[in-house]
Amino acid sequence: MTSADHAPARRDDGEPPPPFPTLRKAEAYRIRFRRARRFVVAGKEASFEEATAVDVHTEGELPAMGVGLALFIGNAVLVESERLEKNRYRFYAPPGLAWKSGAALSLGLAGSGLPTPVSRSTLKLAPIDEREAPRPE
Amino acid sequence: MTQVPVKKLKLEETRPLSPPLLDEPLYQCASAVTVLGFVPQAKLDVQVGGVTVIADAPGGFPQPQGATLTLPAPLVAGEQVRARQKFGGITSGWSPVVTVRDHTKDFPAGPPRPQIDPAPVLECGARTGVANLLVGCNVWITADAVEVGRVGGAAAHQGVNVTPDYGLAQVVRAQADLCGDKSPLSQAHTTVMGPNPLPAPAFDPAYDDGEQIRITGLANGARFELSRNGTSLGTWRTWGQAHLVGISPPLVDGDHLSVTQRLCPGDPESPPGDTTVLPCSALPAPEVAPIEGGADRVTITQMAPGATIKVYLNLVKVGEGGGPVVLLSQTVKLGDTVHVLQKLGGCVGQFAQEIRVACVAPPVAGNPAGLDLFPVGNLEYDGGTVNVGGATLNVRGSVYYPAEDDGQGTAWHERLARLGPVPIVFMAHGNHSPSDPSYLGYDYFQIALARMGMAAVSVDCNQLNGSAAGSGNIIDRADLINASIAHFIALAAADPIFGGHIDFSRVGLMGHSRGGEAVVISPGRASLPGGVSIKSVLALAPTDWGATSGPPSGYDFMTLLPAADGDVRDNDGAKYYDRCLPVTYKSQLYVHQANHNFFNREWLNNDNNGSLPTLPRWRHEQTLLAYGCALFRHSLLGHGTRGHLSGHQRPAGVLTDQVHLSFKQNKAITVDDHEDGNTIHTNSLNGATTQSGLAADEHGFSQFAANSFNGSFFGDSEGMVAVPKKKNGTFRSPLVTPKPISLLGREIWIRAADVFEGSVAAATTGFELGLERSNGTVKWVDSDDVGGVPLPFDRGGATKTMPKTLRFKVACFGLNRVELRRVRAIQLRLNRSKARPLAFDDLQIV
Repeated sequence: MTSADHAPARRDDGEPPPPFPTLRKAEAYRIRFRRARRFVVAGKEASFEEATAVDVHTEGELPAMGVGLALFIGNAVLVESERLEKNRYRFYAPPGLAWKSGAALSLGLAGSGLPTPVSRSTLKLAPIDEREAPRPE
Repeated sequence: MTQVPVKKLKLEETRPLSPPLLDEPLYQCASAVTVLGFVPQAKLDVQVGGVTVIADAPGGFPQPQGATLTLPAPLVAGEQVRARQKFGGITSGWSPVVTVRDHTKDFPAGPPRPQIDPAPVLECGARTGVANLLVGCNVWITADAVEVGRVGGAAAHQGVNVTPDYGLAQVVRAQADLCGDKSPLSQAHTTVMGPNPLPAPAFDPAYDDGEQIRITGLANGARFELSRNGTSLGTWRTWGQAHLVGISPPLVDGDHLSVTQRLCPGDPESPPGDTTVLPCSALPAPEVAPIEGGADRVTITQMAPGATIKVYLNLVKVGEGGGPVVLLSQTVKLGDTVHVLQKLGGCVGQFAQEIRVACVAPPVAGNPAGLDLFPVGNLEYDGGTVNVGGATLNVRGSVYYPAEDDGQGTAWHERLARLGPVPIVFMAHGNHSPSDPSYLGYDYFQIALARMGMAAVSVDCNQLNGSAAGSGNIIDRADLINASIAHFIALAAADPIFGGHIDFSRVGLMGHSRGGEAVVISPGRASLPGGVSIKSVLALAPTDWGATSGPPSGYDFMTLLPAADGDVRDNDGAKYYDRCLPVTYKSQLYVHQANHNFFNREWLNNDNNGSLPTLPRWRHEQTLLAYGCALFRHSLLGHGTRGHLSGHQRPAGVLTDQVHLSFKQNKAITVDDHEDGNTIHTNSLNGATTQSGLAADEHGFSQFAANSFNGSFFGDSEGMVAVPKKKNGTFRSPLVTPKPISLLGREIWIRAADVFEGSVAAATTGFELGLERSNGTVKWVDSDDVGGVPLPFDRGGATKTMPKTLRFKVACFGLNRVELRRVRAIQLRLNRSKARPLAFDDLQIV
């Protein structure tokens, strides 16, 4: 016998969503992890001591939800990321993921279906200084 | 279903009165039985073991709960019980026999836990309803541990008068026994003050010649006084909400009825509720549940109080009873026309409900979430820390379990413990603000599982929330879930509460959003401790961050996809469903008007921001409870709840017309699943298909297939899209098997969808499925007769083509036994005048 559900009434937020974040600044560099970081590459789990990081500054943030931000650099898509602080994210590209120098940047969504660009920018990513040693995490 | 004037029907009256029904199951030691469905004021006979033990008992009114009749001697297991009714000089046939069972076989840990219903319990209340009882048991109520009321030989939902009336802040509990075997105590309810004065009660419409009225808006435990044309008819106690009262002499058009209620003696009476009795001409047709071919009964879903229901099959009366279930003198079949009307004394309703019998119209069969056996204990657990992906994370969360009594840290249920260890379900939330304790949001689901005898854990994954994203984050969640599993293995070894009580060969997983993706991979991770067998996985609105690879396998699988999901908009679980290779079956629920967040009580915002029609939160929880409990009860406890997943039954109280099921089981003959790579011209049985008047081809039902039909498919399978070219275009799929297959007793299942091509049509479409006999003739059944092809859920340009499984019972096709062994092909026909493209997949004989 079913008992009545006693869920308390909750506020239903019918307000429009916050605007999607836009890119203000981006910097790419090589990074060395304290402990090897795992990625999934071609469907297989792989751990790497080093990778390429792209730190971005945004105007606005994406709320914490199932999907998340993706960074498009030309045809390359970076979906592994961390939120460093308000309006600042770090994206990671595993070894082997590359892009053309000067490729255009945009932010989009990942985590549901194919990653899709949402807010395009005129920013271009400066090439990584290969003479610079990988920065520690 | 339509209402038709009775005077336009040439209805043939026949004498028979429908047999009543016995409320079942019946158990040994029951001192009463409840008879249902008799006509008002019928006399009732009851036989036990062929001997009449009750004769000519006045039944009174069948609504709301039938007549509970005291037996001269308690029942004994194995005895056969039946009942019949007498009215107007006619004696019905006997009811279906109910064989008395031993309750300890069905409930080895004791009778189910009584529920005080309705709650809350109010100060000065004089009567309390107790539900979840075994018919014929004894039930009593205590207030502050002192007995205040008792009924022997109870109905399944029994009212108990209490003396004295409740005081304020008393702790009220109910308990029951059968054969001296006591149930657990009900949940404790502390009495609270009711409103003062109470609001005015109300009446359901009452009609000329009626002998029963229904009063609503009553406070729990109140006393109400009913008056007719200014004269008091008396005062009654009520358990609350609604109450039915017998009226004599019968009502007359224009009578004025008035009712007031009161709780405490010093309180003022409520304002009166009033109604005027309506003329007979106002009596509407009753509402009737859809009727499936092969049924021997109809179920009335709305009727006037005290009415008699009459049922006509192809204009000839085949049933007469008091509802809500009326047995018929013959079974119905697809295409039959059934008329149902109601009468009150001499007032016969002027409209009848006309129903065309369908091939498939699954009956409502309880609610899988309703099994309530045990009090529930709960704890927050802390298993220390674990290294996950290079980070140190806490292993913690909440657990609910069957206990001796409700409360934090209460002892494990002792009688259940003697029966052996129980299954356990681990739940994992997804990404949300780290300031919200997301793991607390599934407590309603954990409680439901615990009270039916499972442990239910919700893993706190908040340390993985708010910051990281990507497949690594999903892998971390999976490893954290497995760390909680390891922790509970350790607890099960030696813990004072859990020691020896958990069976890790029966583990279920539920994950929501990123947790949903995590539970798909968790069983395959090296971090899963040895000796753990994951039997079933429920992925609720799972993401796709790319952490999965290959088909989900090794467990039975369910995914729940909210059609109005404003977060995981691509409903990625459809891909997991399509790819899944289950042990026994897989299930997909595509729930119209459900969003992403409302399944978690800590996730407050509507993720689609109100841009899509969205069910209220409690409907989301109700849907997850019903189908999630069906999955875990079947896979972990071996209960017969699979029918809710396959669409053979519908759970009570759920908006099942919004829940579109796909279901696939391993035990089936696949005629065509289009996965063979052998083109549209050959099916999975290697038979050569043919098509005429339509263009059918195979397409990837996904977002990334090179051969997709259009961008509206979001799964990951190959299927067929049939585009009509001429009216009645057909596609023929031959049954080529080494030996002839008899289709006797079988079903044909096919996934079908209305293809979205840019806008959602105003009206549904459909098709016919045909069985081709050896002589080439085809018998057809329409998709509308098996539930229909729903319109896509309108999301504007992002609307999806989402197939659902339609079941065609072979019995509906009217073939004889010989013909059923010689069916040579299955055909699909696009027979609508304005046919549109339809997607098909997974044509199977089940």
